[in-house]
Amino acid sequence: MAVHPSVARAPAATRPFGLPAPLQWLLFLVLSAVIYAAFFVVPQAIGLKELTPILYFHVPMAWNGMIGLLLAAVYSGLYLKRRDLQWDTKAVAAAELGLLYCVLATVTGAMWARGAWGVWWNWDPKQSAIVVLILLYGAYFALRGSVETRDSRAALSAVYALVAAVTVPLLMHIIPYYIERMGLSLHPYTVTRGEMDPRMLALLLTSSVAFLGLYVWMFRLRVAVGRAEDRREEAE
Amino acid sequence: MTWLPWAAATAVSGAAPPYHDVARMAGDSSPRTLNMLLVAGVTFIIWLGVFLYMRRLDAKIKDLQA
Repeated sequence: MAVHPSVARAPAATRPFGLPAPLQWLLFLVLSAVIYAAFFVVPQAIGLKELTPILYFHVPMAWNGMIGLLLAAVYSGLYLKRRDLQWDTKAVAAAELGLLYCVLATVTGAMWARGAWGVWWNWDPKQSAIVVLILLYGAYFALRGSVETRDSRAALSAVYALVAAVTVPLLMHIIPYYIERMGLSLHPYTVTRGEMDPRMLALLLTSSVAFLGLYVWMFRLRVAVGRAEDRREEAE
Repeated sequence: MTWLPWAAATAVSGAAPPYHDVARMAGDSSPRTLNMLLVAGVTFIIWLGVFLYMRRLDAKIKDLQA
């Protein structure tokens, strides 16, 4: 296989990599077990019945999406402090994957809504909030695409990511939660209120950790690609 | 649709959302349906596809860096 010159020049100390093979297989087994347990082992929720398994995919996506977007802010802060482009590369990787998870949480949420509420989309406060968040981070990538200079792009998007991060917990949890407490939303907060069956909670947490593992794997690969792109950009 | 009456009742009464008790994850031992088996199969196939694609990508990037 031909080696791209920009990749071949990567110093050994900074070479990123994916996930070691044993961890890859562990992740495969855990997520496969989660799928099996979600559908056939753990009890279904009263009132949700056969819709229950979506819980183990929708909620971990949302939680890890939030972690990803907040991680992007942490890396952005590190870039502004140290002015080292590796932090910007990590920030954009974290934001991309955080956004991907948020979109998947929205899609699985719409599937759940179709089963539980009868419609795919009804502009529930939770749904509206996630749309605003997705648009906010869509603008982050639009901003990056509009700045030519690498350093300016990194600095501007880092500031944007830090400001946008303030809205992440507000839009993903705090505001929709209090709206629901006022009785104006259909979205449940069973985990927040500690009302979940311990077996279901255990599976939900296992699933969340597994999806976090998948996030880490994708993140490391994305950073590897990002660094190769950076080197090519420098060479040009 | 089952959630709508609860939300409507809440909006009218101003009380705590009534579906809390219903949605409390107490467990339901209803038998699994054929639909669930099919959806579980599709979910697993999607995961298998993602996993194999990730393995391929991982190997390719490691190859490039070698």
